[in-house]
Amino acid sequence: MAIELLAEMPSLLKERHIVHFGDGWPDTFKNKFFRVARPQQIEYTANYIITADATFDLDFDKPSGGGVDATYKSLVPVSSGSLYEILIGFKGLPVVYPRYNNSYFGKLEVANVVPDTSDSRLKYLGFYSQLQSPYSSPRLREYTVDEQQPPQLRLFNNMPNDERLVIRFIVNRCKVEKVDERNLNAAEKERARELQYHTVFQW
Amino acid sequence: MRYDDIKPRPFRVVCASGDTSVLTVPTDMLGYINDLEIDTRTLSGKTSTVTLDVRDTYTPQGGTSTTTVRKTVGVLAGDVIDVDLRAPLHVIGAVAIRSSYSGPVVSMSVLLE
Repeated sequence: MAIELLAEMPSLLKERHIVHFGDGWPDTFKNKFFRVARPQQIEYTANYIITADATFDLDFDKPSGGGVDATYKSLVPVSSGSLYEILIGFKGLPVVYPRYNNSYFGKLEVANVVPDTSDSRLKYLGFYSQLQSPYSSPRLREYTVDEQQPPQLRLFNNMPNDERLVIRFIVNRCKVEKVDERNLNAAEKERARELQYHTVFQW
Repeated sequence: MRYDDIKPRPFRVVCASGDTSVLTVPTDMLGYINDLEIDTRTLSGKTSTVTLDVRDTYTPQGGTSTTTVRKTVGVLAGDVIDVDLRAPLHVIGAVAIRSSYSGPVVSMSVLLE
């Protein structure tokens, strides 16, 4: 999924909700409908102290040895029957740039209008902070499935002092089951939540 | 009650003289010292200047760092003085206070949020 900023804290997927995966997702999910069979909500908090004017990259993938480490947060499922719906909120002054495949996601169309933490004109482009998605009521949402390109976050401390950033992930771990499109009526298809992969935003 | 309605609660911590680690900010929280008080009843009848170093030790990505904020306050023995902080001191790690005299009891109020 491509990370999305919502107007308010969204409700989580519940049992029997239907989702539709658009283009770009791994073949198991691409252009298919799935029904949520069993959702489980898991709180997960990560914290970072970032020195002044420094960045730190974290990745939703798992580390090679399993578990988690400072960089790899294991926020992509390993079962092909799972979907993670992840709300992300922040506490602290550093800002966060979403990235995929080591490229910034929040960029404009003119060449070189891409976030750049070393450029005073471009450092405030395509980022999120605690103002947009506070720790207490996260408004950023991401979806992950097995074998997708893991989302990444670049943390940037633009302050003159070392700062802590606390990141709250609310992981709605959903067991999902494929639904034959022919068994869904028009209303169910209409209500299905559309999940768009980040690559569809590259046009 | 919504999560937003929960207000930070000040934690009052006291250290004796010298270099004492008095508080470690939990890793999922930010700390603000909003009140610092020095009790000089043990300074045996003299007027003096006491220097307080508020040290914050933490581990950023890639090393260990310490920041120190120094506050100097004139006291008359027996006083209980409110140290003027101007603005709350932001702390993120293990907070210790060192006073230039042994004896004074320093207490601080810390908001954790």
